[in-house]
Amino acid sequence: MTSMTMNLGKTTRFWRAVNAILSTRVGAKLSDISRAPINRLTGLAARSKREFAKPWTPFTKKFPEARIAIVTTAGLYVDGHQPFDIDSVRGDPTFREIPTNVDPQQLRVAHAHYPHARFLQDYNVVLPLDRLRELVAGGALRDVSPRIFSFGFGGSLTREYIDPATGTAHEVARRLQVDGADFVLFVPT
Amino acid sequence: MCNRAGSLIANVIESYGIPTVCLSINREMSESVRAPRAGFVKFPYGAPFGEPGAARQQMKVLYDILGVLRRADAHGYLVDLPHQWRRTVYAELAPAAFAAL
Repeated sequence: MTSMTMNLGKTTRFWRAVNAILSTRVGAKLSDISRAPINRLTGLAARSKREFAKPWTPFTKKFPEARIAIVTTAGLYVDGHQPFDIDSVRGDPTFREIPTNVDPQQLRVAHAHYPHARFLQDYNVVLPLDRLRELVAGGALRDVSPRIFSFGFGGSLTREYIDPATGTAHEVARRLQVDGADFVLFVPT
Repeated sequence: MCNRAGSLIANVIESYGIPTVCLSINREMSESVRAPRAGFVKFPYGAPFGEPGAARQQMKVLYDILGVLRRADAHGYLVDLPHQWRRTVYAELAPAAFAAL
């Protein structure tokens, strides 16, 4: 199993409480109806004066010849592997590998910032494994990359992802190269 | 909600020569930190592909986001995808439609 552990030092039980609230029907409903103002607030908070690099790789393949890879921040992991740290104040920058042919019953989620009810009802709303299988069977895509990479709650983390020497996003990128991914579909939650 | 982390991670992956496309459920955050390519769906947190059990909707979101990958012409491309939660009727989408993208 793949999990880099990092001691972030500061933890809080607060997100655990949020997670418990979002796990209730009322909490999930609150999340639904407050989505627009939360988007505005978090969008403003995320504004950065910092200039990030603007890499660009053209996509030139035909889809029937392309291998799709999925990367997500949904906090997914396979039963028996180490869950993400939902008590960390700043977020957990580590990632987990999920085999694309995973038994969906073995999927688990550790992410305190979104309601899990819809995912638990139908994993395809976050990880559309059935739809991708249909597309590959129908010849619309060549295949699906053998590993799905899931991150957890990212909060205010930056360097932990993008540092060229230690950033976890770099490690995932290298593994995607090993897997021969032709493009990545990134799925947030 | 992790659209910011998504943009950061997608930019790193893109720098390794792998094209990326991000589904976004937080337009403001995707505007604040730009991914190479993103398509915004006005869906609740925790359901970026739509409603549970709605296979046609999930397929259409996939179709639209792959269309973003095909059409985007420069870094920071961000479009609104025409999905309305529970208010769009979805037709069957054949795999052949994807091959034509």
